Amino acid sequence: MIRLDRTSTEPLHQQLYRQIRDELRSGSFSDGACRLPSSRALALELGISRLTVNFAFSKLHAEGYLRSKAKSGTFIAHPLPETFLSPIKLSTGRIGRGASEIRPTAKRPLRIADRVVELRDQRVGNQFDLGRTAAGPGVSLIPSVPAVDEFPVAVWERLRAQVLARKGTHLLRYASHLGDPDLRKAIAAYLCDFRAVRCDPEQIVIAAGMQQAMMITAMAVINPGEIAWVEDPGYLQARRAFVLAGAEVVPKPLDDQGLMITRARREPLPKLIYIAPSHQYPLGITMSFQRRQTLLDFARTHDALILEDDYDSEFRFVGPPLPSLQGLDDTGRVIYAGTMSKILFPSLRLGYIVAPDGLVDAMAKIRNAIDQHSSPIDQATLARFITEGFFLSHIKRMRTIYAERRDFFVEQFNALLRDRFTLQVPDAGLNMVAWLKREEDFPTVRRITREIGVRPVPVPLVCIQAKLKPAFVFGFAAWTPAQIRESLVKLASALKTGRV
Amino acid sequence: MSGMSNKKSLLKKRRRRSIIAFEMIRLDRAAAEPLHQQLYRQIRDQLGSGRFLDGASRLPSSRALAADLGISRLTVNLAFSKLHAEGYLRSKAKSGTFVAYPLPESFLSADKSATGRIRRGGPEGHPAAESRVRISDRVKAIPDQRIGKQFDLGATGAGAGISLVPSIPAVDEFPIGVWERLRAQVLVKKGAHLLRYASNRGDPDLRNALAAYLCDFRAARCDPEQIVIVGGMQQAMLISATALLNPGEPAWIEDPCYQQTRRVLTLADARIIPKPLDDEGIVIARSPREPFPKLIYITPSHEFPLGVTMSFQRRTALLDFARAHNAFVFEDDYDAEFRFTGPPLPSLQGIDHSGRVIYAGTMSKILCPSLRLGYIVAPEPLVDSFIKIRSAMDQHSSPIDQATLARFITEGFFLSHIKRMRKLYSDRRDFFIEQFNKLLGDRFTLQVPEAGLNIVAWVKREEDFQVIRRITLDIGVRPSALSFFCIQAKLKPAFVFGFAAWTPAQIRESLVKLASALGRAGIA
Repeated sequence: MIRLDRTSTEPLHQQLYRQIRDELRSGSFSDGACRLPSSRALALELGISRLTVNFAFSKLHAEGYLRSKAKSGTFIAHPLPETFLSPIKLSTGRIGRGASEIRPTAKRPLRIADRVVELRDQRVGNQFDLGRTAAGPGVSLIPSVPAVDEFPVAVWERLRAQVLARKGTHLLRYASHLGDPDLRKAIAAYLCDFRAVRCDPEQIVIAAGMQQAMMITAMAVINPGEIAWVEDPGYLQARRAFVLAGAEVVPKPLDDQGLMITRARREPLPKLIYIAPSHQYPLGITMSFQRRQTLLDFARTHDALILEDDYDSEFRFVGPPLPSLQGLDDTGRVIYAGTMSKILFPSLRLGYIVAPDGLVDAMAKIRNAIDQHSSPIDQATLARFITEGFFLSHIKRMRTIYAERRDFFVEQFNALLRDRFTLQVPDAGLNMVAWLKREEDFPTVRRITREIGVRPVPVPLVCIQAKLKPAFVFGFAAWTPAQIRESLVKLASALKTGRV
Repeated sequence: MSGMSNKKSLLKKRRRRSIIAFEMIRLDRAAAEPLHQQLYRQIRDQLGSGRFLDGASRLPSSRALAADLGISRLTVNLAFSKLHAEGYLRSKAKSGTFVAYPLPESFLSADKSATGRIRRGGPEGHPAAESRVRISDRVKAIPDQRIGKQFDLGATGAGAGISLVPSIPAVDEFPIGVWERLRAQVLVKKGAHLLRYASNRGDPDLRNALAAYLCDFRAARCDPEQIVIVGGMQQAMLISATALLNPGEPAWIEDPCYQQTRRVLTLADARIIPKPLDDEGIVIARSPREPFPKLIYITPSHEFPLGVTMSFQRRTALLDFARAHNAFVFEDDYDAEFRFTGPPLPSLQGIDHSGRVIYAGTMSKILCPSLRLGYIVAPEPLVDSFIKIRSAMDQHSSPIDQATLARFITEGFFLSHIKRMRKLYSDRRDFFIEQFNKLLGDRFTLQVPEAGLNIVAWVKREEDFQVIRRITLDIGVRPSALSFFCIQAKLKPAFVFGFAAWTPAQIRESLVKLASALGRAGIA
């Protein structure tokens, strides 16, 4: 019954393997006594090389379809491998594939845990597919998205092949909960040199991005019901991580120096203070040196810890950065966290925590219980990407590109939309806040942006208690000048026809 | 005359100013580093030295520099374009290329003078906490006594070496070449899209592929919309517990059980209630005052560590109990693919009609642990909650790995690998049993399960346990003591051996070593 097609793209040995396998599976040989023809005989019969037959036979052997008996040849295995894999289909009668009517549904309404209800995440179904919506291709001007098409994938893949060749199967095993030692060293050196962070590689815990860094930190230092301060307006995903860890999130307002350290007299003290001092999201404020000192004093006095989120401080366009809060701290109260999502690419899902000594083991225990560790192959590749200089070179190149795009965005935005918005240009980061000149336009502008697929984030959406004037946060980094212009022109003309 | 010489010397001076710096360039044609890279690096370092900080310094033309250095203009241009891209140089129309001011370093390097005492790496470089950092109660409650280097699983438990630790697959048999080829293909096909933020729920192709596999081979009832991709079994448990339990609410687990289960449930602030096992699986018994569980965690295909396959009767009894008391069952099907005797029972999820079973699986045993990919098949009403938790925990798994796995499955490599490994493990298992009974049959009774990568060996004379334990640690053969997995259960002493990750020769070597060490210690 074997029919080999020499014109097919499927190799001959694969065709032979597949056809023999299917015949064996059809069940006509299941007594186990059937012997196969010798490879020589079969090759002659089919007019193919014996090597081809042997290829097919060895695959069938390896998968357990055949067994050899010394001096008597090759026989069909009994039972066939399918027996061990396919469960008995019970006479429930309704086991089928995919059809919606067979899915069982719970009869009572489901009770979801309180911490999940409190996440304040209203998305359902397809809205969770970030790839398809928020961060997809298209010139949406949404904030916090880096230009991934500038990432040197070819270099990355080459380094990956090198580490795989060098470390081999060791990279396929379970790995360290703390992270790859080479990567921890490389990051420590980078942070000491460029971010004035004070750290030893032993203090670094590799995390699967900023989100997990926040989650691990909250789980390590907050008991259910204890207080975490966050910036208001602030990063929504930080709030969600803390809520999930059982914290009571208390929003704190901002002024032009950063987070305001204010507290009502009876208000309980925070255990954790979350801030993004280099470049606050979404307002772009750089925390002043004085405020940094005050915050450290406050944390020391009241036995609180600070989580410093330094998510995109590499992209600074005016003057030198202030040293990290962690570098100013003499008391081991600052947990410093960074991510590769903006510097390299978001889907890498790698970040790091620089923890005070006493917290490192606790964080490793949490990482072990959450998801063990990040991919050792990705970690080893990143370590090499850093130590061979590609990392710093990429940062510098991207800073130049982003600086140009930023200038272009500011110029075009003001030329096209100056009547309706006041642009607030921060010293750093990949976003910009545009304040509406006439507050009453807000709902119309919001509707129009949605309709035309230009999707800056409305500032009220990221406010908890803060009452700010209406504004939108635009991203500019992921798109070329031509694309930026196209989007802004589209927005300006839609606003004109929408009579804003 | 004097005017002319003045002009000439000015010109010369300007030219020299550009050239002087680059007279220091030394290119090594014998080095492995390409010439353009050497040139780039040396110019960059000279610019970074700070001698050209006024921004008026002009660079020699690429033609002049190439002639000076005796290299091709292309090489110089490559170096220049890299310096350009990184922001070290800027071009002015018709006047040439200048040193950028400020240099990129000034935007990158924080002002260290403010902190005064920054040192690199040394132990005095980082501040010590004044008061001890307070660790949260749930972390203290996690049953995990490890510290420091012990967290490097790669270096200890699961590393290379013939340790016979349980639950380790044979990763050296994984077709990494095929995997990397498929990875290159998906990268070419989907391009930069795979570098962006991705779905919190998981790659749609992967969910489709897994749904098809689970329907065909595990008799799970599922639609791709019910599948949530997770970073391994661990995360599947944590997400489920976080979604269903308020702090302090009870969860049942098997006793003995997988140690990680206890850790996860502790982290989720659950109240853990251990339940004993008999030869049909978890015993559904409750004292009258005991609260009802919200979540029941089980490994029905092959209980860890005892290897019990839950009977069909017990499965239906458990489902009835869950339905009657509004509990959910978490079915951990971590290595059901590796079955060696008779066909598997269908998954619990497949016989459930009330939407009370959360089914979870992992690629750690089938493919390789470091992939960190697994999946949950969730009852429909729970799917959105699970995804919200994933989003708040760590967003999503690598889209490149997910797309590669989807292709690995749809192109048939997955099933073929499972069949090949089952055959290989079956051979190793038979060999292990034969050798073990021959060499150590006097001291242990092997309990051979129908499935899985581990085997329990009961110590025949209970009083030998401590000595044997010490010896195994000494000689680096490290089966887990069964007691390590027990919570309240009082079982006779035993060890759990893994056999899957080592070749027959290695297995024999280890067992011979163990037997002779026990013989020397007089355990006979």
